[in-house]
Amino acid sequence: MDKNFSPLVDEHLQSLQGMQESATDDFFYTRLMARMERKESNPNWNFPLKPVWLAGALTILLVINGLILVQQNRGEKKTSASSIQDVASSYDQSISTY
Amino acid sequence: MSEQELIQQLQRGNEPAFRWLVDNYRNRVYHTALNILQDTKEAEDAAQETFIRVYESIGSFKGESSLSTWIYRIAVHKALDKIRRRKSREKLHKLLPWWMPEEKKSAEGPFYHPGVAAENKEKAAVLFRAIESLPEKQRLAFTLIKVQGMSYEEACELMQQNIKAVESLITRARGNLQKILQDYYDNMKKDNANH
Repeated sequence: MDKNFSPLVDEHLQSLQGMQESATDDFFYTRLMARMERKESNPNWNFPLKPVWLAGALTILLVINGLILVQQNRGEKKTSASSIQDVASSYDQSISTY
Repeated sequence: MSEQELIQQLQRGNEPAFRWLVDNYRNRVYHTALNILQDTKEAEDAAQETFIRVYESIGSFKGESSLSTWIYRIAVHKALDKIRRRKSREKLHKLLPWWMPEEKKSAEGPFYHPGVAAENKEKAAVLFRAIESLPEKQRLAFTLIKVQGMSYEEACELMQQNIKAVESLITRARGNLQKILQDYYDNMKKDNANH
């Protein structure tokens, strides 16, 4: 099936000849039951404390923060431009260039 | 007890049936996870997670494969999940070494398989280290067939791949392993010559 020339692989595979099946100890079931009970008694939502989740959450927060700041800046510019127009129109004046 | 009876009892939540299942499958599940993960603690964890998953989803077991294939497939998925998580932790550790100081320690050191004869442990450890650097599918196919000694048919069922695909994975895995092992011994020779 695999007649490729790979003598080093064959040589190393020889070291696995007669490998015994690894076994768990007799308390495996007890530990499993304890874990299942813990899981059942604590099925609530767990706060993701893993660093990768924390880093992700922090990045999302920073991005949202940045977007809000950019949005606010744009809003302020628009507001100031429109308020000048409002004042000019309410006094029936227009900006002349001559 | 026939497999059908066992499944029915498990679906009814019968605890002695679950215990029987765990006692009969735990060693092979653990052995499979250990061969893939090359870490006894993670293999125990994956074996436990496998049985929890079996307990939780036996209700949806449709009998499309045999119960044992279904259980070993869950075990393989759990083990692969752990490898993926380990790899992302290692990447994160490279970026932020102060954050996860224990990660480097676990990635170092050879894996001495408890089932391998004492006089072969060193050589087997070199092979396991080489297998670790194979791409995921090649690693899985080679581990199941060449390390664990599964038949191609069994491995195909577990991996849900056809025989041609698995044969191709084994051929590529062999080629890659030959290169990795050759590099390993060349580097060792160079190191010995320098000292």
